[in-house]
Amino acid sequence: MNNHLSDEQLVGYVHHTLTDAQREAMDQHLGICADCRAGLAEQEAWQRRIHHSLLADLKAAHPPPDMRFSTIAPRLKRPNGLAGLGQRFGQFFPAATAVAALAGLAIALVVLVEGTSRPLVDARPLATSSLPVVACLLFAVPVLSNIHGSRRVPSRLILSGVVAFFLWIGTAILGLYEIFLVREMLFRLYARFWGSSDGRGQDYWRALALGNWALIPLSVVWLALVVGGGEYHYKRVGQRSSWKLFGWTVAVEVLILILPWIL
Amino acid sequence: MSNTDVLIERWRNGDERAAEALYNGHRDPVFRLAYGLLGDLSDAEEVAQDALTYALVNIHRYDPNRASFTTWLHIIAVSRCRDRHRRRRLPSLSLTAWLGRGGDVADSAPAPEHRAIQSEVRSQVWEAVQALSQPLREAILLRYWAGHTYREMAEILDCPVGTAQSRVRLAYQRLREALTLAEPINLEQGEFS
Repeated sequence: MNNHLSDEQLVGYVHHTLTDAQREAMDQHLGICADCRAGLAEQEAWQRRIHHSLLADLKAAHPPPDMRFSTIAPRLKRPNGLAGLGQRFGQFFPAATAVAALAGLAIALVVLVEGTSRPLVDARPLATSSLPVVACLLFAVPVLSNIHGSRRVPSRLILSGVVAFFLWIGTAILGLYEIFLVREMLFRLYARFWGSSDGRGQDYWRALALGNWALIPLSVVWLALVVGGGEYHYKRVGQRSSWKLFGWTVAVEVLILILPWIL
Repeated sequence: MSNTDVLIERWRNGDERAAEALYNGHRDPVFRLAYGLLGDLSDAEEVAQDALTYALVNIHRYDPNRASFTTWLHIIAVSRCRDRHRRRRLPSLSLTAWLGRGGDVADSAPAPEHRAIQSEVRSQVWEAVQALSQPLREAILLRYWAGHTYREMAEILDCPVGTAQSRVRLAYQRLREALTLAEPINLEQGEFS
């Protein structure tokens, strides 16, 4: 080796990325070339500087005092019952949770179109179809599967993002349907306790007006929840807090759906 | 059988004190690796807690024949940090702010106690490391700070050994260039050795 060693070679030498043959050839050259020995010493000094400085920087960073085992201990408990079943389902069939969310979204769309395309009061009883409840049950599948953080690490963010998007749209559509459901409930409650809806008299129009005016605050609340919730999920996609909020959303929607049965 | 292996076995049998010992033994290194990769104490805390929780909950997935527990933990931590980076790249539109409803729901500014620590932990090398691209930063931290072999690095970074080696070399060269520009020093005086 007559020429001086290149920077690449010296860097490879100090980082132990050369083959044995390359290293042996370089050792021979270094034995006879003072310039290259100086070059190697300089590389080693740089390496030491970076190494020591990085170690010092990171040793100076300490975990905050509230980063303790007790913080995560509750999450280490193995969930039982429905939550445990959901976790195992999510572990073995992660894509199925997205399918469940998509199916729930499709059903929510059907429910919205069907539920809002008929007159407020007709011959049929109050809208208490089981379809919206089925949609909520399907939404509960990805929520229960993910709430304990059981996803595989590599596909976590992408899959979680897709599922969260389906859930967000699906729960928003179901929420829209529930606005009409609440309007109908108000109308019927008024008609039941303060008048009669059969006669189409003054009571009927009062009840109708009450139901229609209720649409305004309900729509504002719905819009605020959809926008605020969307932003919350967008910034916490795949995180436990996002799944928890979805869980609460689905629970409240189920409660509103069973209200007509109670009332 | 090492102490870590004993603790893992005990935790697999349901001994929560073993889980706590594993957590305490690996908390600081995982936190510091996450801090080095993310450059933010709040994010590092969250990612480290998440990685440690995942490892302890999924301890049955750990295979000692494939990698050491530390390497496995670092695989999880690096993966979580990559997730965090992807999240940071998402456009930071705030719909509530746009609607004039005030604060950002996920304020990313560090807490006062974090800011105090963060301001101390600054050096030219640190700044230069933070300016590296994510793959190069991962490589230099795993090699220089965590002391992994190239084979372990390949496992953690999910790349060939040759790629891990070339990333370390490239990261080192970038750091050297940045530091030379920032502060020409006399290395022969052994200032940092």
